[in-house]
Amino acid sequence: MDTESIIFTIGPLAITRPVVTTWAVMLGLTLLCALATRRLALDPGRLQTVLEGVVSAIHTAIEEALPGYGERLLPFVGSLWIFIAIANLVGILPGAASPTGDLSTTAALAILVFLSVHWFGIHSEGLTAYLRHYAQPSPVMIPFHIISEISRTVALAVRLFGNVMSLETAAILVLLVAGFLVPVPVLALHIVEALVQAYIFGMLALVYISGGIQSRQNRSSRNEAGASS
Amino acid sequence: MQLDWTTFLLQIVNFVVLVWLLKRFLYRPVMDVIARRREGIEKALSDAREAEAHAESLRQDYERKLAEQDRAHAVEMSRLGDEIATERVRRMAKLEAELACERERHAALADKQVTEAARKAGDEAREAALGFVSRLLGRLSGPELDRRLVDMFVADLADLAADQLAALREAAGAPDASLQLSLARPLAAADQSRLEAALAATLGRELPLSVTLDESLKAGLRVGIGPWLLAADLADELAFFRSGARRGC
Repeated sequence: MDTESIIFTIGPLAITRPVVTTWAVMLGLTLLCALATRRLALDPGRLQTVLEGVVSAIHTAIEEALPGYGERLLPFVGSLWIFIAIANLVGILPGAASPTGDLSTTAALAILVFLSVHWFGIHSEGLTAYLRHYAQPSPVMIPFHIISEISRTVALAVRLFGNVMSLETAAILVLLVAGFLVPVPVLALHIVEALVQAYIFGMLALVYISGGIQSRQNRSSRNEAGASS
Repeated sequence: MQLDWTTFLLQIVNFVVLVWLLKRFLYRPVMDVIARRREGIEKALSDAREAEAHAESLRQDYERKLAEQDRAHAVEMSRLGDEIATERVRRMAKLEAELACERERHAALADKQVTEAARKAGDEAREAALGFVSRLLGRLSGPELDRRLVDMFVADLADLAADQLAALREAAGAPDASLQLSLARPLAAADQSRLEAALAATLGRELPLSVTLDESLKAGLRVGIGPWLLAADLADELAFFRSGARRGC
């Protein structure tokens, strides 16, 4: 543990900077959403229009990847997109560091994606049927499926961590080497990269979850095709 | 690059809590309002479809009624046309009958006018002839004509019918009977004597005679016996001729 990043301790728990930043992001998001959605009207104002646009865009993206699962996946996938985007952008603020620049945070998110894939898969088709797809098309594939699950989860965590950390490191280096206004383009690139990485992480999570759910749908489609033939 | 398990676990908990918070304060309210708006839009669309269907139904009903009215109108127009044709035929027949009557009336009127004109022309011709004869006889009157009229009077007395003769004699038999002799001009003594003799012979007695001159007689004489009047003068003859000519036409 990096002792410099510990802000304070609660009993045996050492509260680090990413955790505190995450709490701040959570608090800000919660307050913003609570205040913005306090009086929603059928004839929306500007803020309500923005919120509806964001939620509708996420819902539409989920529906396009997994038709009929928009309502169920919206809280998890939408929260991934919103949290990671804001967490990535926090690094732009002076004196703040992106929580996603910490491997523990990205690993936690990756583990949650890993668990959600199995959660939604099992919830969708049942435990036995879901586990059976690891032996498809042959039981020989079981180790490969397991390795694939682990590797993509690790890749998910490391990709986000590496990109955000490298962006922050590059910004610091440019700021140290160049003048005061020179890092502005780098900061603009930071914004774009932060949004892109959030989109990639959320999209990959959606793809993994849809892969777990669609394995059952593909099997149902094959059974229907066999029955009709 | 170091994995801190405490941070790892806390971030897992943090994200799960964030999912719950966002679901509670963002997704649910926003999705609810979107659903409500969509429901309102669907309801408005449904109402619009119902209104459209109702309008379409009304339009079809209106067109059906319009078609029925057109058919009824056509039937009514046809019936009216027939009635007009029948009425026209009837009125034409009536008019022709009236025209025929009018023509007959005009023809009768024209005939009457022609007859009247002919009669009037005849009257005028007779009047002219009478006037001419009266003027001619007036110019021819004189003692000679008086004498010949006396002759004619005497001859007529001799030819009187028996009943006439009896009536004259009865009038002459009255106690106060007398003869009133009117002359256009004084007769010759011989003619007057011959006249008195013929009267006495006819009446069977001599009556007192009073003689008066009356130029309106133009020529000849007139004898009054009680209620009887015997005339042989030109004025009476012409009046007789006039009245006879009128009766004749």
